[in-house]
Amino acid sequence: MGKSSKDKRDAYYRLAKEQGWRARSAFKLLQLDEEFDLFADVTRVVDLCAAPGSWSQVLSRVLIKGEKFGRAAWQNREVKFRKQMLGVFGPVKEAPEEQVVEVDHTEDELKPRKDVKIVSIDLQPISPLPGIITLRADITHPATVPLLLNALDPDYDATSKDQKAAHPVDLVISDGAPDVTGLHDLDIYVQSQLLFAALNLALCVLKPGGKFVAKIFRGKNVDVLYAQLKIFFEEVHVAKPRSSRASSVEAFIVCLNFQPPEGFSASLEEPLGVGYRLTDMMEERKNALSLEAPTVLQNPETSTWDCVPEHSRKTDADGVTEVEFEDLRAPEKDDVRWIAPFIACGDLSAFDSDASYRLPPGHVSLDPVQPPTAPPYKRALEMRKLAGGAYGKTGTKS
Amino acid sequence: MQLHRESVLNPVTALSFIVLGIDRRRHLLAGEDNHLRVYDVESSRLCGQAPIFKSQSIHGICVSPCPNDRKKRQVLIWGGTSVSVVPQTLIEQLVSGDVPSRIPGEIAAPDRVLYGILSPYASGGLALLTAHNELTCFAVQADAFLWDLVMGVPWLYLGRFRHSLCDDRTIRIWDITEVRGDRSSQRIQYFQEFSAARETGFRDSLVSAAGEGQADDRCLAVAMGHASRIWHVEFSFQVMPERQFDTAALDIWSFGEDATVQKWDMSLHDLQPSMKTLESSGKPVADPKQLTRLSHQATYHNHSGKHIWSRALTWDDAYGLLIATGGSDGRILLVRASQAASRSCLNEVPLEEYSSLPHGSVTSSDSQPPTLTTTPEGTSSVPSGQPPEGQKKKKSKFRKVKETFNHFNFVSESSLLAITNSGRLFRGVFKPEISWDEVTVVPEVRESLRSYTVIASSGSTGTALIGTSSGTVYLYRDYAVPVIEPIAQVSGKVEGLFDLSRKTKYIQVSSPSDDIKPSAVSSDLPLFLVTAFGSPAAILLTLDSSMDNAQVTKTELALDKGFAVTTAAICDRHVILGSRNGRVSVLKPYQGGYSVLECQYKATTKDAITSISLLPSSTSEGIMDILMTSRDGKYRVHRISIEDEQFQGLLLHETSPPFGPVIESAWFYENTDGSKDLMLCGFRSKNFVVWNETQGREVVTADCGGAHRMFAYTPLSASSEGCRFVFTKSSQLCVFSQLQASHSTLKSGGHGREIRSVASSGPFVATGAEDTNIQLWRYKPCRDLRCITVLEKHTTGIQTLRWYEQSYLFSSGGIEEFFVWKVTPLENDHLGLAVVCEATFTDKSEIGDLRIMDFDIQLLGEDAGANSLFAITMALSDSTLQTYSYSKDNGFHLLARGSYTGACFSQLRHLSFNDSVLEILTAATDGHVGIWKAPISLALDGDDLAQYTALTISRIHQSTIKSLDIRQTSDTGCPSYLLATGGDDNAIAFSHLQQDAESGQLVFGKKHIVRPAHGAAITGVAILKSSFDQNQATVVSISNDQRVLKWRVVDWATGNAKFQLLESHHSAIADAGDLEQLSDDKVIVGGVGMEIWDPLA
Repeated sequence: MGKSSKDKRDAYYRLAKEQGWRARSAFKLLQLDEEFDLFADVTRVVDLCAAPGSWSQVLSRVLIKGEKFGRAAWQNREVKFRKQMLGVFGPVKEAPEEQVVEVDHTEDELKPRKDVKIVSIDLQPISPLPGIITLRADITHPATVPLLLNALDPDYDATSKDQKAAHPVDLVISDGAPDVTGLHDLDIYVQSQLLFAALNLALCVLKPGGKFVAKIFRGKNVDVLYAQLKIFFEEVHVAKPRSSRASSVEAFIVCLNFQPPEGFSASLEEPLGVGYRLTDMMEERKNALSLEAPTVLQNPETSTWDCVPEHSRKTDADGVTEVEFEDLRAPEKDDVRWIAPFIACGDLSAFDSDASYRLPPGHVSLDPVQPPTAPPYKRALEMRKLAGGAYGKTGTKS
Repeated sequence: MQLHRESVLNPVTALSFIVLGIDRRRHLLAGEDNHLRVYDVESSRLCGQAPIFKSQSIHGICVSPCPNDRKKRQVLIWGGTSVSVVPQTLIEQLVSGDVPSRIPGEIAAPDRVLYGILSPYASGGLALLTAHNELTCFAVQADAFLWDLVMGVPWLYLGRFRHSLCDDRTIRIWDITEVRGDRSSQRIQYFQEFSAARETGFRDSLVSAAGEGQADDRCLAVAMGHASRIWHVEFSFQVMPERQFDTAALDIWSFGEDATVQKWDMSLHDLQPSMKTLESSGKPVADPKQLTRLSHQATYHNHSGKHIWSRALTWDDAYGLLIATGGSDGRILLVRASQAASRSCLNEVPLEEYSSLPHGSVTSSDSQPPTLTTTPEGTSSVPSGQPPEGQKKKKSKFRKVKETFNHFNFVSESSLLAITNSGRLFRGVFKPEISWDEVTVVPEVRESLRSYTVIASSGSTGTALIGTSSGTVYLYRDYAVPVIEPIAQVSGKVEGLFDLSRKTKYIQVSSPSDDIKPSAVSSDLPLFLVTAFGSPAAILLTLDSSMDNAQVTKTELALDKGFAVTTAAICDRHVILGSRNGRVSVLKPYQGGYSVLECQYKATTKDAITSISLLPSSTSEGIMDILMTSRDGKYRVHRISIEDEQFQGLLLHETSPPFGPVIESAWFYENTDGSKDLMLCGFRSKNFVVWNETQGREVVTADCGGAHRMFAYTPLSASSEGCRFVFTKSSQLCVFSQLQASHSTLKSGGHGREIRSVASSGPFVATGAEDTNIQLWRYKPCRDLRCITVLEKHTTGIQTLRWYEQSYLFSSGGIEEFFVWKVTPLENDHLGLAVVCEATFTDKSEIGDLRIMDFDIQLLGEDAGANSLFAITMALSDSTLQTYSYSKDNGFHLLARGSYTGACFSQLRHLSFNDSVLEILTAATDGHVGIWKAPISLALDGDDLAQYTALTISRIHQSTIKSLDIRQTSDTGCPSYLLATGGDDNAIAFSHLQQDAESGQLVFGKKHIVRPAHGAAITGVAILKSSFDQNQATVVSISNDQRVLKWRVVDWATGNAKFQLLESHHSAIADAGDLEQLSDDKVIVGGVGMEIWDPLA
């Protein structure tokens, strides 16, 4: 797909170029922030799997420069107009929305924060960003912890082998994804390992009450993963920004209020996600919970204690009644599963990443802000070029 | 009432050969989802299966190497973090049909297992290599060697390992023999550096400092050949007995993402002599690196789509090297490497029947005649012997012309008749190696055979006709001492000779077929058509050669002017001719002769028709279905109907098989079970190809240099893969013959990529996938789906498929691709379904790059030509709606348009069409459902375009509505619907739609949502037909979390609605794209593979 057709197919690709972002994923973080207010009172952040650096760019512009981004950045004005014309979406509170837009439009004075510390890590080199320390490292590697701690605190003594940060951070984010193979089972595993790698680092450097945001693939056994994350955080949400395509299995896990379990100490020597440590913790937790008796009520007619309390049914402004289902499945031994509440973020006036848009007349397709620095397939392309093109033919020559 | 999985077709993720039972029969173990399946290699039969894990797919199988005691032998199976050790006796029980003993429980490994082996020494000992490169031994007495490795291998990152080996698409051979320096001190140093604070990205400092430089030295050879990533590499010597080492020991086999298997030859040059000379001359010792070469040998591309996920190699004393591959298409293929081997290996093939002759080039050395020399004017100077090589060259300098073959053809499948340019006749007999003898002919005959001949044969009787430039036609009879005699004379040079009984020729040898109704004219007598240059008439010759003197009946057929016959057939007493420009002519018997019928339809191609065969059908008198192949790379089925002096042709089927553009012929091969396979042959680039259209695979590939040469072929009755192909290449006659293909299908597969849409109608199921193909399947309850045909026309992934009864199929994709397929179920089983693309949607938007996300169709009536008239409404990715009318004769006409907020549509359904008002329902990425209406005016010349008005737009989900099913509760009174929707937000919603008493319009009643219902996006939902009434419904849903859920919904229209989750099961289908109900209430899930569930079993 050429630049221009990608502009039409993908509104966020075009917006990213127009607004100077290194990748369209910047909007994902901005939309997550809009929903969860991720950057509130945040000064120390670690960005994992950061290349090409669009999330770091967001951090740099929001925390260091003090810029503000709101809905105006990704709102499709035509959509709003057409919605009003169709008379759709009546109950949506229009007033506050307008207000936000107002705030965004008044380009008021920048409010840089004090003592901001941002460290970005990736396997691949990241082009420098103002005020951000970039490290090239493997987040699954034990050697990365001292490297990171040193970057956060220059006083840190790397020989001490201490794996805890002296001054923990407020927020750990990770937008890392593997090169997918097509074997979904494997891709989900590798993505979950990236998530665990990010979590293991986060457990070392995050302060209690801190936040953790990472990319997940919503595939098989993702509910086991949610349940595992719930051990460490009070709130676990799964969020899908409007800038992330519906056709993609990608979503973001937003974990709020870090509460490490009692007696837990993080270490990359004994990482979670490998071995039995996490499964044992889950088992313990499950046993502890199952000691609580389920709530039952007395049946007014038969006087037996067999009534399950009726959940109050809430009907929202759109007339959708949320109901709980009666679980009549045959009980079976299984992993502990829990499905985190889903939140779609970015309001409905935002550009739709799945829709095609007509480009304004005279549209000039811009070059990407930051082309890939060192894609893994680069060597193959170089070798192929060297051998004179076309596969198959080159193979027989050698 | 348990939800029960009836069948599954999904990627084959593990394979291993195993020898089972006392008779030591070779079987193949395959991991398909969580089931272990056992196939018999010889018969390709599925012998048994058992679930090994609860919900984990199998990734690897390792058979214990201890060969002696089969009772003690075990099989190690792993997948994800699950491991199981299954005794071989249990697998034997599965095969024999005995009730298997308890399947051992699964053990959880600490991490994902990449590879595992069973110890050959200690029973029960096993070693696992996990994804973080840790080697763990689960053995009581694991041997010390393995433990040493555990200590020595550092904790490496899986991703990096893969990147360095696979992502650059190279195969590298490494020398790992030498031992460097003091290992223990090096190791300590390594570990110190390993855990110190440092950067660890790609090409990190540690590796480049310590290892990289030297590691590069250890790489002996590098080769590239795969178009994308390489998943596995195997050395064939690992499975070969030592005595075979000298021949193919250094073969390397690679398996890739591009769905190919490639064979490489590694040549290790003998270092000794060169080293000696170099040493003596005082120069540095030769670098072994420069002496090792990897050369590409062969590519096998028989899986569809992408990825070969699993492979297994073994050595079989009868077959040689056997390689099994399992693809993401669910297919298992077997490659017989020795059969595919180059010429040099042929002599070692032990079995005669496999000793095919890929290039048995007939040169002067192995039979006297074929390359002879003669003078240009050639007054029959026949050299008695063969001149040596040098002499030949010398003669050519004297402008002598080499004696070459003018024409050749098969008289029967084991007999080849060839005529040289000096008029000599040779007979080649296959027994099965070809041997030649010359047929003696009198000088006059020889003179007339010189310079030009055409041969046509009727294999069933061992007779052939030879046409000459003088117009004389000779009859050749393939006796022990062949007989040749003139039987007819035509005016002018014989242009074409066509055997009209040819279609059944070779099938009849093995089994008398009811394929062709014996024609009244020929009554089993050989029947030939002769055409001559400059003659407007063709002559039909009927031979009765039962007696010593052949009786010939001549009938003259008048042809249309300029009708150059390229093929002829006789069907139901009518002669059907195909011409060079794609025209068809039908002649009906008339007063002892034939009269040409007037053609009432336009030719469907402008290229030559190469063959015509009759499809058996029980249709009424005067109607026949004929299959024609053509030089435009397509084959077509026409229904010819004859009325009085006219005939009509209706195109029923049109397909381009994956070769061409030249298709030479088609025939049917009858299998042992009575089913028939449609076989096609032709050329693809430099190869002659025989393609089994029914099974969708190439059975013969013969490198001959291309289509522009003289050739003859015959299928063999003994095997559908058997073929003899004779051709000229560089003025030499070459013979290719094979009885069995070098590869065979152990299990047939489906789409090579994710299925996005499934549609069912009666016994037919259509699936559309990301591989841009549409596959049509026949569904029989409790049987696996059988693929009938593959439609390749889309160039983008399929978005939606919809049937209209069993007569039309509609399909949509990206870049505004929309096709109308006319479907005709055929009464015979050979083709099953005839499909032709009747129309292509052309009214695209300005740029034409939108996706047609969904559409629905509605029958409006009939057009003037009695064709079905449809309303088609499309939902586009730019948030617009458009409704067209469509019929065969009038094409597409825009009737109405609508436009939404900008959100991309995801679903669309027609609700009703009453009083010229079309009411539709849409769902979009914003989680809203809309009901729209538009007035539909069928006046085709109407200029004014109707606009859709939104009656109601109502939010149900937070984000994209990915799946939707709607069912009307009552036909009487005011309509009322249950709408089930599945969203990207993990929620499933049940909404009630009913007609508002006052306005008469559809409005939403109660909307209930269950959140979360699944762990991931819900991509398929179906309200079951059978258990549906006004108050109760059963709903099945599928999600990306690979679970199938069954729900019961009670009183959804009221405030006391009840929602019950009845069952939850693991589904094998990752990335499910659609869920559809079959005719019998079963549901089919399509995604990476497909599976059928019986919800009411």
